[in-house]
Amino acid sequence: MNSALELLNQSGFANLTWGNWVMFVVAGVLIFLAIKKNYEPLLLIPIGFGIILANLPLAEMGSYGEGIIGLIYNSGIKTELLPPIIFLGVGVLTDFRPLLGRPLTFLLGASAQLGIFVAALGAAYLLGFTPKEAASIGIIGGADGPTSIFLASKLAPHLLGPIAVAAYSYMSLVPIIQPPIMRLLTTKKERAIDMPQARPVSKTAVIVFPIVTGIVASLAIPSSAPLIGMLMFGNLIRESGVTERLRKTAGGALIDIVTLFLGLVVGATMDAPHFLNIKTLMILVLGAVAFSFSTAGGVVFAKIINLFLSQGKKINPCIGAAGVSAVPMAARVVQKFVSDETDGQVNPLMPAMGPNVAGVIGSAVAAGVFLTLLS
Amino acid sequence: MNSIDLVTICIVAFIGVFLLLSILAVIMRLIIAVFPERATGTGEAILAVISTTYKTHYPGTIITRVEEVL
Repeated sequence: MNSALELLNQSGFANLTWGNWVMFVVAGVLIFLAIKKNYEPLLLIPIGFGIILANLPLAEMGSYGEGIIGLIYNSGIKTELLPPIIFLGVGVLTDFRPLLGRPLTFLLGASAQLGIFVAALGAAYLLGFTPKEAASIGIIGGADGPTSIFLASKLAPHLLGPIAVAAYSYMSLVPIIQPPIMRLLTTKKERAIDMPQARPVSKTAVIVFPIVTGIVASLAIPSSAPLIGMLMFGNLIRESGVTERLRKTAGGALIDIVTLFLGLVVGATMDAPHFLNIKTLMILVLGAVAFSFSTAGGVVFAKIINLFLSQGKKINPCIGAAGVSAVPMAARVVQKFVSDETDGQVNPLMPAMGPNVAGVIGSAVAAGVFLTLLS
Repeated sequence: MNSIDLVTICIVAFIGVFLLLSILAVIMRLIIAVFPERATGTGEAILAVISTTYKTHYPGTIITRVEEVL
């Protein structure tokens, strides 16, 4: 009888806290959103199940524990290994031609990083986060999951869970967050600007692009090299045309395997003591602020650029909103918004892809700058 | 490190991102100027359609070039 009682006392059931139950509900919501609403399912399902694993008492399945998830966390996140590998796959899957055809849209990708800095300042000044924590929270505005994880794991690893969840949640909420901001900041006439086709880009140019960008960006901000370097390496694999097997692996099996581990490990950082606190709520609010300001930054800067462009060369300011990475969803949202507003007359999907992919570079560079200045 | 430092860091970082992407934009513009896209003549899709049609009537034929005569 005593043995049975001892066994019961040593079971997870006897050690469950209310916090664990709350986290099970959070996990359930994420899994529900992934399956029913199709919100970032490739990430939210591993994250959701990672939360469940981390909240099983005595199982040692959290990222901060001694079990196998802890092993993956220590060797994959703490060492910066997994996010750059994701970037390798992103590079393979990204076509930079829309950006190369309109180099001006590089600037929209830069201006749409505004929210990063606004949210970081808000976090530090208004909510009392340390500069390292504030920078990690601000990077949510870059709308780039791997970049957020990369920076948070270096500067504020204790906030990794909520930051990753906020980043991925807001990325899937782009269709809800961005249209009202675009509508607020643009006139009907501006939304109807139909941009001419971008200039064609030669095969040589698309091959030279990742090499030059990798060198220039990594020399300028060396701490951004893990992200930019791998992104550009992946893109070179894609564009060279002679590494088909590597392209298929990096853009398929490899990115899937890493996504599995990354999602699971990030979810497993969210045990009840680390997640259920006021800071998490603040991070979620700041994430929304960051995202909104980034969207506004892109749109407003596009309007400023238009002041200097002649008639016929003006850009549709809505494409500035796509500068918040979140490839390709932000570009699709811009396309749908403008198309709906103009009864299908204007369809800026390809123009919006320019700032969209520039945003990936912009947020990685911003993360690198923060790392350089705050490490 | 105090909050004033963070303000400076954010300003420097934003300018840094802008500057670097501006430089990349200029470099890309130069690359495109140096390596312009040449007119490719007949598109691959058109070539494939003509090849398929021609092979239907003349099996074993290999189309190597299609030229547009204006």
